[in-house]
Amino acid sequence: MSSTLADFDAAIATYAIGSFDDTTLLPEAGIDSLSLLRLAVRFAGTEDAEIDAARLVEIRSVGDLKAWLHQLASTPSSGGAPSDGR
Amino acid sequence: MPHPSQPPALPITESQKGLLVIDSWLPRREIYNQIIQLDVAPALPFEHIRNALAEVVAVQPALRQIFQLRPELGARLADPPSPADLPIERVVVETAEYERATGALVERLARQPIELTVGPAYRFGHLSTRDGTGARILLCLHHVVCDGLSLGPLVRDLEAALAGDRPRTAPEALRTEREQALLRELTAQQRASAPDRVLPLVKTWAERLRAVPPLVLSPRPHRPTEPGYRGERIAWTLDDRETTAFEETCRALAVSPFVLLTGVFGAVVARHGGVPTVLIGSPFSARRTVGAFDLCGYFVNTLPITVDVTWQSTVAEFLGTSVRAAVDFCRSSAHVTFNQVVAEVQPDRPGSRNPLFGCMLAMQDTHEQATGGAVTAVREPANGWAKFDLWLGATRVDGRTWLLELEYDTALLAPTVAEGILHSLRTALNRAAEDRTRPLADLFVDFPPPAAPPPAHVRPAEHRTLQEWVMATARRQPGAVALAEEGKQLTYQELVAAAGRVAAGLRRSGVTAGDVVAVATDGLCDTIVAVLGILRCGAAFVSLDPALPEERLATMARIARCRIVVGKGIDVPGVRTVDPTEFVADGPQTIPTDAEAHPAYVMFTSGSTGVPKGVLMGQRPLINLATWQLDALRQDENTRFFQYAPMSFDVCYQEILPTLASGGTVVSREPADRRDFPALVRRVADTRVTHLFLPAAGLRPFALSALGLRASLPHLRYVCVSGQQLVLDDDIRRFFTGLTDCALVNLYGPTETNAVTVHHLTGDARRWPSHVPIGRPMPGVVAYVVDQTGHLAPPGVPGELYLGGDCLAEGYLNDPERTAAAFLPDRFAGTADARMYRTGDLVARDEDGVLVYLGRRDTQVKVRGHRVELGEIETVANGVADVREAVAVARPAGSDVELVLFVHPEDGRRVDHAAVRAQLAAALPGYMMPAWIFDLSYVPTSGTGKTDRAALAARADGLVAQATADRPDRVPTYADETQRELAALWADILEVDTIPADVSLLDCGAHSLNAFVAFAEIQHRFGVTVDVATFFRNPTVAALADLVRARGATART
Repeated sequence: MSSTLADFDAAIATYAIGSFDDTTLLPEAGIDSLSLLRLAVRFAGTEDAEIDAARLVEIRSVGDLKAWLHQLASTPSSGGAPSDGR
Repeated sequence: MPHPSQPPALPITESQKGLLVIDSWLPRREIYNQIIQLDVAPALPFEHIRNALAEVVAVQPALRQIFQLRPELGARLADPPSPADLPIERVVVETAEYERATGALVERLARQPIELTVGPAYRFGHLSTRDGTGARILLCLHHVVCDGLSLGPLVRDLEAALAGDRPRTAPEALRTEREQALLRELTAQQRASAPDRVLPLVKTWAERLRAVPPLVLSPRPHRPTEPGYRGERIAWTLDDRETTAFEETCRALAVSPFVLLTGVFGAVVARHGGVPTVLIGSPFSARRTVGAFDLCGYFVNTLPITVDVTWQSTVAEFLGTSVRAAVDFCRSSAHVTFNQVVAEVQPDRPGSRNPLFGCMLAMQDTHEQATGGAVTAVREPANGWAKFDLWLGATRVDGRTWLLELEYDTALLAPTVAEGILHSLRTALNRAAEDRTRPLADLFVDFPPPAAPPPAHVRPAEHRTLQEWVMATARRQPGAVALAEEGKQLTYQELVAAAGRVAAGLRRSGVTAGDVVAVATDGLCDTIVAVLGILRCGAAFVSLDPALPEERLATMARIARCRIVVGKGIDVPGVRTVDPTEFVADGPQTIPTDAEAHPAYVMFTSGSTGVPKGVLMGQRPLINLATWQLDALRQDENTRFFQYAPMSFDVCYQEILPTLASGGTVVSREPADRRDFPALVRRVADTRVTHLFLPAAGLRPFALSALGLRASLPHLRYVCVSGQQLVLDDDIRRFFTGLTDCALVNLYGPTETNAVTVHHLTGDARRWPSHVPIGRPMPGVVAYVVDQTGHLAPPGVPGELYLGGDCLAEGYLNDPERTAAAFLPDRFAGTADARMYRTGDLVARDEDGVLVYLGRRDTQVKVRGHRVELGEIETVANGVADVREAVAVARPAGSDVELVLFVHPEDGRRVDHAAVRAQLAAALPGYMMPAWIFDLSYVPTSGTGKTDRAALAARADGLVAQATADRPDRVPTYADETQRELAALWADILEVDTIPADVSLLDCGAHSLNAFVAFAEIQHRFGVTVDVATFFRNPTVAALADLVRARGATART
């Protein structure tokens, strides 16, 4: 599967509230950690791809998110994890 | 394709192990039954639904886990069930019955235990209306096979199965695929949480967790140590305005709703628990593989979020920096398992409750139901069980607003206390959104104190001053006996005349209104005559006890600027002593016209610097107190009030002046010695006393003496006590049971206010509580409970007691600095000149608005992180045979403190220390067990009759040092083979050489997890199940052996 940055933007838009650009912080865009996981599952290269919790916490902005999704889509293992509070 | 008959062994996650351990310790197996309620298209036939559910079970392997507890924790997968074998209850009802029947079905499903070692871990319900307008599926799953994120996969699989659009062979292939995905996920989790990878992190984390103070919501004496598990829920749905403000706050601070709720909930819990730091537990998703997001299963680690509440920091700093960092830390540590944290922290709260935290926050927003499928709505109704002391669930409603639900354990929290928490939560959330620059303390507002009971029964004050009141009585009944000493009595007429002579003499000596005159007289009559004479001059009296050191007397006289002492035996430079018998000339029977403006007495209290403080008390509060007392204690001309208190103790006022105002008789204690209780009992009986006021510490010796003497006290109507926490035991109850129509009245009040709150105990004494509340404020008095946010506390919240209204002393005599520090402007009164006194006492209002004393703010005893009320230990010890009185003290031991219990035996008896230990162990948690027990030949008391704990603590130091030096190194000996075998079993688990039979296993390293292993082993070897909570109350090999033998005996009968 090959995903483009436009694919990422479109997917992020389905979870976001209002407009955003790469500098927008995730809470400002209304994207919570659960949305991150849903995006990860959508773009992950393989079912075996692993999500590393520590990495996920570092994703602060939409730009960080796109970089991470890109990495996840192109390699079979990396990522970040948790939906908090569930 | 057929599956092998022997299902493969499956590793289980550490979180599953932790939950299995907790589950196995609960008193009921059904507490972790989770209910999911799915509304489905009504047209679907039952058979179709049953087949679809069977398919869900087939393709979700976690549901088919069957667990084993020995030889090690693990699971295997059962084969998929055939639809006919599926445990499903079908209910068809009329439309009008639909909701009620749903509740009933939820209850039936939730109340039946799920046997995890037998399986299955699920059961279902199907409910439909007869007219085909509604249908519901209820899934009842044990929590150990599902979590919040499992809702999505379950609903998707169910919808796919109901739609029937999968190829016929597809479920088989999917089943294999999912089983492999489950294995991959479990393996990935085990790899991520491998000890060598997480141990350094866990160690530093554990260190921080150990520093967090214990949280006790709604602290009170005799709060149950074990939860009751019955849960009640109360809820609040944010309205549109609140929702908008909530979301705007999240955006502005760049935090998630989870961070915002964690922070606000944390601040609320900190306020209500009276602590600066709290742990809020929350489940963090531990799913690692992408494939696991299609799986149902228990893939969470429930981790403690440390919420540090600095009340001065702003909302923005708190949420945007501190709480966000704490949440991020847990998120990035989601691979660390709860078990690993517990094992490292080794918290001293084992038992069936969560060992790390009592409060939980769960975001219930994991599943947003897509439209178009067969499932039209998803809910998770409460199962009626509380898994935590307090749980907050935040559920997204219609993708728009939030439903906040508080679930609380009804044994631990009263409904009004829970309502107060919800009130705080709502206030704090709204105020956080309103102004992000406000300090955290101002997230809260004053909780309105309970309305005072109507003062209808209180008569208005009859006179402006105490002296006028007494003179009016004398005019009304001149021949009545006012004072009764042995062999001597004074009528009102004689009393007033004698007081007039003293007043005249004092005036001649230069005493004027507003002066302070000392009293150092012998005998009740001379003393009261002197006091009334001093008051007649418009002066205040102060008692100087000739037994006090000269230097102390000089200091007191200097502070009081006292130039004259009435009496004898005082030799202080600059102070003239006058013998009252010298006053023979009558004077005018008048009092100064402005007498009510002049204070009545000075009482000295000890100051922390060693210099005593002279409390100057005005007339107005005393008139208010007397007015209350005459009504409340039904005082009249038949009252005979025993005069027990020294004149240097403010209780003497209540014994004497209201009695003289009512026309009753004040009865002298003498010749009985103040500490000779049998003599006191005889004196009270012989003089037909109706009212008796004792220091709280004196009540038990008095009661025991009365019981021992079989004294008949038919006249006694009121026994009042004050001075320290009143603790009742069965002896005291027995004493009151034997009295007809006698109430016990517990009063509270510092010297700076005299008595201000009161609690009456009447009726069946056998039902009286052991830890008696200090009650409600008297009319005219206002009691403020100020919590750590500086606001008036809701019910159940500990706070410092401040007193306002008609009770305050003028201040400390000639000491404006200390007066200003203790008597503050009353910011709650709403008037500019009102004042309030800061008591330094910690109290809480109970659910009925009654004040309960919790301890001194500055001397609260804390043992291994637990708050300990020493009186609780004493009450239990007092119940042991041959104990006359027990006193517990705390002494420093290493970095902690240890408890020492002193026991004063009955005359001629010896106290069996082992019996004391056994009784304490049966009634109290382990941390309340005294490290040492010593005999005491008498209980030392301070001058005012209070138990002198400081003296006992000093004595304990010496006794412990001696005992430690005397104790030889011990080689463990065991009473029998059971003890020996259990000691060996534990030594093996704890990796130590030997364990003595009577040493706490907790001190040897036992905790909830390794205890689980031990108990499984005990079950295996001895064939008995030991009750965990019972074990942890006295966690020694000896006690465990007793339990094993007792269970074994029960099992055989």
